Amino acid sequence: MLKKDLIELCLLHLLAQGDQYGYELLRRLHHTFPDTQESAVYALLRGLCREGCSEQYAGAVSGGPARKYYRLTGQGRDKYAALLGRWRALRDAVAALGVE
Amino acid sequence: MKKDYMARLEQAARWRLPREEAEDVIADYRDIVGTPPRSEEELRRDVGDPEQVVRLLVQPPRAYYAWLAVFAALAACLLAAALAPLPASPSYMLLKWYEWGGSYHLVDAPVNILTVLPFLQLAAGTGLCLACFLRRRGRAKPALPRGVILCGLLMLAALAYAWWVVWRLSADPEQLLTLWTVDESFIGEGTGPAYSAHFSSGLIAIAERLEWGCCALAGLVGLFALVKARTRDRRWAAVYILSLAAAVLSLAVLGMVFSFSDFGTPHSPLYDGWFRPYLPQFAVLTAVGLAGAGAALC
Repeated sequence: MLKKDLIELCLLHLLAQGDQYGYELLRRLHHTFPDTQESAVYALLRGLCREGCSEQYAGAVSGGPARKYYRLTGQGRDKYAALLGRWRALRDAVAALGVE
Repeated sequence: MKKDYMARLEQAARWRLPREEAEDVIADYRDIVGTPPRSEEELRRDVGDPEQVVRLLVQPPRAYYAWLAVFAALAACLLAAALAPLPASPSYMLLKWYEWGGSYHLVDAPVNILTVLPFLQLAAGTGLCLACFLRRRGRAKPALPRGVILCGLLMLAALAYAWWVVWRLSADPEQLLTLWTVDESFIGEGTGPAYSAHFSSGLIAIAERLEWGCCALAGLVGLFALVKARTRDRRWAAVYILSLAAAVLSLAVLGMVFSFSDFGTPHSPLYDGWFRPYLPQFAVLTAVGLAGAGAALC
């Protein structure tokens, strides 16, 4: 499982918990993966949109410009489940080696 | 500093991404860069270099390669005429070949490769440019950039200058004839009458040099406008079309000047009204350029 897949899994996981403001997603992922630049996370987020795994919409904000929010699609849930399965298998395999 | 960062990012995004996507990405990055406010150094560390930011988004790169191909085609249409002053350019060699009587065995003037080629260049460049930069329905139309007006006027002046040269040549062919001398070194079997132009002095000499200058200037302005049409305002396409028209018209006028070596044809300045067959060609080139520029501004 590549780091790219891991970041995608995290993005899909956050979206599975509810609609997210785009910048908030980037900030949280950059905080979790400090050596990954926000632009790389943004590119992955746009990639998920392009694949149809997530979609964006403009959320209403009082007294300011509309913010862009992202939500998970049915296809995104399938991808989330597939990546989660791969992540759990990897985690178990690593744990079986005694790596804590 | 942050403005510089965003300016570079906007330019890179508009150059590499399709217009709709570029505007979407720019809006997102205005948000990312502005909340919370960060220095340029912090932005480079946390977000990345503007060019790198955009390169990450050009996946798959098909649309970008398609744009590069279109840009190369548009630049080729323009440069084929604009680089004519360079002795190594195909247009220059064609002109010289024409001057030495090479066209004598090809097609009678004025219908020859030097009059057909500019028209093909202009038609291809204008059509492709309009297809790329036509206004999308429902899009707002901001004020016309001052640069478009200034560069457009400059290219209109170049078009007008080409017509002035035609007018001068038609009004005073004797002056031109005295400037031509027979160059015996070029006379040989099967080459036809060979004359060499020596426009070393007088009005015609200035006119010829300025026409070469117009070709080169139109090339520079046209390329600049093409980049601006992609990265700033699509109406810069009007300047590109005018530049292309100015370059091909200048080249066509120079083609007419060089065709004077064919003294045996009815199109030589020895005959009254020798220039009339050229006028429809020049008029079509001018009209296509003006109409194309008008369409690009709509």
